[in-house]
Amino acid sequence: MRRGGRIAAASLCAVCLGCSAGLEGFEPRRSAPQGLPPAELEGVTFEAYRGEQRELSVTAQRATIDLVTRVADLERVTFRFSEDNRGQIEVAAPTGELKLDQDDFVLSGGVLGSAQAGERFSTETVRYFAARRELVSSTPVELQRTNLVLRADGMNLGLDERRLRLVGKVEARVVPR
Amino acid sequence: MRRTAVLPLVLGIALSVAAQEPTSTGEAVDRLGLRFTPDAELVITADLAEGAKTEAGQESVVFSQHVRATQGDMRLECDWLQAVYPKAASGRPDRITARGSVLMTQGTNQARCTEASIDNVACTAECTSTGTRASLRRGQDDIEANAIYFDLCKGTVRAVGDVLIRVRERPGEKPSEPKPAEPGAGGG
Repeated sequence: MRRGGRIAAASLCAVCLGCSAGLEGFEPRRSAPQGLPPAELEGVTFEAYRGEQRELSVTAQRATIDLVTRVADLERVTFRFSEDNRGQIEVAAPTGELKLDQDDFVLSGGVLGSAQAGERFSTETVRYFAARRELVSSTPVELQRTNLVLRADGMNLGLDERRLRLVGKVEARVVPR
Repeated sequence: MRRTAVLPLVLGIALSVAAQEPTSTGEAVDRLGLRFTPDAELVITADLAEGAKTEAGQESVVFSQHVRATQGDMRLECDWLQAVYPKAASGRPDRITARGSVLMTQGTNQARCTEASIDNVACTAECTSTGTRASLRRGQDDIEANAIYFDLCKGTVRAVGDVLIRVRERPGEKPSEPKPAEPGAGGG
């Protein structure tokens, strides 16, 4: 997690299952034989900052970090984007994969998202591209805001402009109250 | 055989529609206007949609490519549609603007123009065209004007600017001289 002077902090809140005597010396789970072993963690919080502003917070019930590929496999994970006064966007999923060097991640297994003003969305898989700060889903997506329901084959959500783009078979339904 | 009605007849249609406010959708369609079914579900479909803020800071969704909107028995087709939502959280748009080849249909009434603005709060719609004219067709008959205004709650219609009405003979109908309009005549 490094971008524009941000500080990445990993606060390992609970048990570190694979790192009792340092990480070296353990057999790698999936890396090359000479690589470092994966670190298995429980109750994990990652925080990424841009200047003084906390931009991204990631919590996971369990994480396996491959120190060679620098990829974290996450279970029961929640990503929270919080900026200025624009409110927080939160996405949660049963599983996720976070690339530690780019902050890119993929959430899968049924993603639930929420934003300010009670907006919610759900989709099977969502991918985050940190370089362009965009959440992208290529699986059917459903968004709800009060009595408005939007469905589409996919979506792009630009976080900088908070711009939502729905693509393919878009359907908006306003259910009478 | 084809006949074109004279302007007084045209005005007669418009005035009769406006004077007798219909009380149901069916009655509105029997005349000339379009009428909302406000408690019906509004469904908009398109190939693409994008959420954006208007210049006034209101939330909006812009739908494009093969846009269709239906509410009750009213249907709207166009190339581009912007639904503007009130600042207070609500799923129902305050205002809808449709552009491109706009076609609004209810029963046998069809309104065509290049831009339609629908105000859900005032319960009105305005149909205007750039480079061509707005038109309202019911069966064989049609109205052309620079702008056509609809009261979507009352089901009334008002055509403004170089209004032209064409009333075509129906099959089996004998040609006759145009006669002064009676309430409801020609509009239904």
